[in-house]
Order: sequence, then C-alpha cells, then structure tokens
Amino acid sequence: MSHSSHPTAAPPLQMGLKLANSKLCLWLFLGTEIMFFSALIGTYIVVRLSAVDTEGNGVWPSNEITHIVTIAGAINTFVLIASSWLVVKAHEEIGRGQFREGLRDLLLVFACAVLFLGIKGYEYQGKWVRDILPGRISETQLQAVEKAVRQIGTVAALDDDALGGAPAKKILVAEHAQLENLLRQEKLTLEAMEARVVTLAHNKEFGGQIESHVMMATIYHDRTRDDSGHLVPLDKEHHAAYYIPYGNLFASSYFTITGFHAIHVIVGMIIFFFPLKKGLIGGGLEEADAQYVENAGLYWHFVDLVWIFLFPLIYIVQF
Amino acid sequence: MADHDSHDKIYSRVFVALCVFTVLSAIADLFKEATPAVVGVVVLAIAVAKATCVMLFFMHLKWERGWKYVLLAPTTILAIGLPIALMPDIGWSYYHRVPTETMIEAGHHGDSDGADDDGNP
Repeated sequence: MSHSSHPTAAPPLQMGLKLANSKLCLWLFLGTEIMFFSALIGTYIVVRLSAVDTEGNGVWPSNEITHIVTIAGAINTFVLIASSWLVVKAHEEIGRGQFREGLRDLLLVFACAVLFLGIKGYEYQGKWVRDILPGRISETQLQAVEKAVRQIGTVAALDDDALGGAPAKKILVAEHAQLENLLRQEKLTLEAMEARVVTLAHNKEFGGQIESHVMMATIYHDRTRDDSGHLVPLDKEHHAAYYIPYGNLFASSYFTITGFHAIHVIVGMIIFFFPLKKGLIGGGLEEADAQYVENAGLYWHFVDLVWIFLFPLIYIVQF
Repeated sequence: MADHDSHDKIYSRVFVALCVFTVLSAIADLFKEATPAVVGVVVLAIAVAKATCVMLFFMHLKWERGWKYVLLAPTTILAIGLPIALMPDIGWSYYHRVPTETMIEAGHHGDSDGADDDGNP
C-alpha cells in the first residue's frame, strides 16, 4: 500500500516568501526591536507627562538644568542620516560591482558611527561632571543639604596633607560632625545649613577640596543671597540647579533610552566590521556581499529611525 | 543601469530632504519658549515625515511586497497601544493627586525661579 493512495490531512508544503531568508529574519528581528523601543519611548512620554507640581503644571527639568545640548543632538541626527544614505549607496555600488566605492562608503558609515558615539560621550560627560546621574540627584532642598553634608564627610576622610595639615583636618571633622547633628536634630533651618556649607568653601586650607567635592559649594560659593533669601548661582555656564525635582526620573529615562540606542550603534559597528575586514584585508568584496550589506543597512536604518524620534522628544519638545 | 541611476537619484533626494527636515527641527527649537505646544507638534510631525522617508526609500518598503503589512501591522498597533494603555493611570490623573515631596518642591522651585527672574521676592 503506497502512501500516495491515502489523502493526507496536512496542508501541502510550499515555498516561503519571495525574499532572502536572511532578510526575512532581519525584518522579524526588527519587529521585536520596534516593540522594545516603542515601549521605552512610550513609557518615557507617559512618565514625563506625569511629572507635575501640586497645581498639575508640567515641571519636567529644562534643558538648561539637565545640560541637554540641542545642537549636539542635531549634529548627531545629521551624522546618522548621512550614514544611512551612505549605506544604501554602498549596497547599490557593491550590487553593481563597484567594490572600491562600496568599501569607501562603508568606511564612512563606520566613521559616522564613531563620530556619533564621540558626541554622545561629550554629552554624557556633561552629565557626569554635574552629577546628573540616576539616584544621585537631590530633588528637594532637604536632600540637597543631606547630600552636601555627606560629601563634606568624604572630604573630611581625606589625608592630612590634602586638607592643609592635621589642625585643619581636625576643624573639618568637627564641623562635619556638628553639621550631621544639626541636620539630625533639625536645629537649624535648611537655609542656615546651606550658609555653613558654603562658608566652608572659603577656608584657606581645605576650601579647594570642598569646592571640588561638594556640589552645593561648587555651584553657590562666593555669592550673596538675593532679596528673597536664595543663594544666587555662581556660574551660569554650569546651568546646574541647586536641586532638581523629578531629576532622577529624567536621568533614569535619559540614560536608559539613549544608552540602549548607543549599544545598538556599537552593535552596528560590529556588523559593519566584517565586510570592512573582508574588503580591506580579506581578499576584497564581491557581489554576493550585497545581501549582507542590505541586511546590515536595514538594521542601521532602524537605529537611525529610533534617533529620529529621540531627537525631538528628548532635545526639543517641552510639554 | 538606468534603474540603478534612478535609485541613486532617489536616495540622494531623500538624503537632502532629511537634512532639510533636520534643519527645520533645529530652527523650530528656537521658538519653543514662546510656543512650546506648537513647536512640539511641528517637530513630532517632522519626525514622522523623516521616519516615513527612511522606511519607504532607504529600507525599501515602497518596493516590497504585501508581507510588509503582515509583519509591521501588529507591532505598530501594539507599539501605539502601550502608551495609550498607560496614559490614564500615570500620564493623566482623574482624581486629585496626593502631593508628594517632589511635587511640592517642584511647585516651590517654579515659584522661586519666577520671583528671581522678575527681581521681586
């Protein structure tokens, strides 16, 4: 009895879609990537709208406070757009046998990725020096004073030499202990605590250490108070605020979203490394490489696509 | 060969269009203090236009077959659905909020900034 005499219930197998398996896999992968980034961006929009004061007004930290540099974001947008254009050019050129031109454009794509990460690193460094990092930002006046007292404790733990000798260190250790007590017992107003912190930065022996380690002293030392009793910022260039309501929510969102995007840029560089290696020292590119470059390009365009939305949402929109 | 040339031209035009869109976004940024809502809508509309250009031409979706709808429609629907689903609880508030310390400080912070700008306590 042959198998063919029995009708089978299973549907007949058929060929797949009329596109390369690798390209189909890449698109399926991009489907998951779309979900991943839309979750990040969607959540960012929602938490940003939820950052309000008691009146319900939006109080998301402004670009000046959080050291968001719009021109850096705009340049990075241009860099990614240019790299996307270079990828499609490289794909076309390799497909038609112009390997030299294709290799040149792939090298330029790689250079664009390096430039993008360099600019992003500059922006991250701006946050780092101002301590605009998740979990480290004072959101209230009390938190700012607590942070300053803690940072004074760090300075007080330094060697005698760094603090201008043993007598000076003894003074600072005593002052730190006293500040801790005053804070715990709530014997002084927060404004008075601030004034004592700022005064420490004027000390001849350890004032320099206080200035470089204690954020409050860095921003406010050597300035008088305004009419309403608030300390006037020392340096407009710093842009950092004394304390930043919703600052930690900002920092977490910012570093999560841009960090994951930067990781995708690095992965893109790894993907482009292989055809570059083949083209430069591995015997040269060939027409069969066009499919790889197309797939790599699809991934790279997606990285560009994500940034196209991140640029306005993080750098420009204020809602 | 003619087909290749026409593709090259399309890619170059798209690149120029994307650059122009980026410059427009940067120009719009200059007006965000005066009209934040309008600028917000404009720059997001520009972003959608840029994304459309990249997907249609650079990612070749304009020339792909019907599979693109099967693959992209579910992800797009879910991607839009997620923030909409979260919005009523977190983004908007139906009931009066219980003020948190951060919300109170945010209110004070804004007040003091305004007072400083005007030079009045």
